[in-house]
Amino acid sequence: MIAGNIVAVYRHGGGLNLRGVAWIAATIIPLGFGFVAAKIVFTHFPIGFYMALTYFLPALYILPLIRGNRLSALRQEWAVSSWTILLLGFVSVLGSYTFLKAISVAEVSTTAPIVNTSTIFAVLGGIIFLGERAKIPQKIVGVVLAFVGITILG
Amino acid sequence: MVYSGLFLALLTALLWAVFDLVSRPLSVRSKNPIALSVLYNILGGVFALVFLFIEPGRFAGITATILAFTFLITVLYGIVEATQFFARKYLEVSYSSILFQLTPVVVLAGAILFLGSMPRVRKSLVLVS
Repeated sequence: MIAGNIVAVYRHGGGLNLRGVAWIAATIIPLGFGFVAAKIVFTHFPIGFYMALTYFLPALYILPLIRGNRLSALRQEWAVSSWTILLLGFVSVLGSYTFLKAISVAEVSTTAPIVNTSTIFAVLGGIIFLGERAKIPQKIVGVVLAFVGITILG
Repeated sequence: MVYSGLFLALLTALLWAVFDLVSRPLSVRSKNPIALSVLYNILGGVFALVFLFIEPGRFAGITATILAFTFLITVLYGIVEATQFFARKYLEVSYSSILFQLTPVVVLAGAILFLGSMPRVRKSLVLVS
């Protein structure tokens, strides 16, 4: 996994946004610890209640971090994002639901490698749909290495 | 049963990839990624409530420890939500989705710290990897 990441982000004189990498680090550390804690608690709640809690409360916590007029900031984001924010919320919740259901009806060791193909789909989708054409071979080698690492862990 | 699990796993993979692909242009266009995150979480919470009606389920074995861990999860996810759209704003999907695969390394550290034994650590890693 680590090798895959190094290959993917290694730069020959430019391309990688270090500020972005710092934000990713700030994201995956609490995310990883959150997953560990989620494993302990999610079966104790109705699935819809648990998911609603994990969306509403974080929104409440970070609301004070919005600078200036909060309502107008939210309105502005709504205007900019249009229907895609609805799609994002729907896809996110449905993805969480199908993941929790998948691991409840099949062995996680079977489902985890399949779930992790999302990275392959995302990288290919980024190249095809979002025009992220820089260093394509490097990205493909990186994603394959990361995928193999995770599958071996499974 | 196993086939439905595999189908659900594949569906999850596709949905998570769609999430990555949709969130990138949204983050780039966003003037205020935290406001974007608040909006996304409110909408996500509303959609999640629909599942409460589809699959009511029940509360089981709620203890003070479970409530404490639940609170901890919401705080950790709060940090994730405060940062993830900044990360997606500055990095292409084809980089960020690979970097997100480092999460299991953090899980390994977390599982060793909080869950202790290696079989449980392995199980946690498989669950989230």
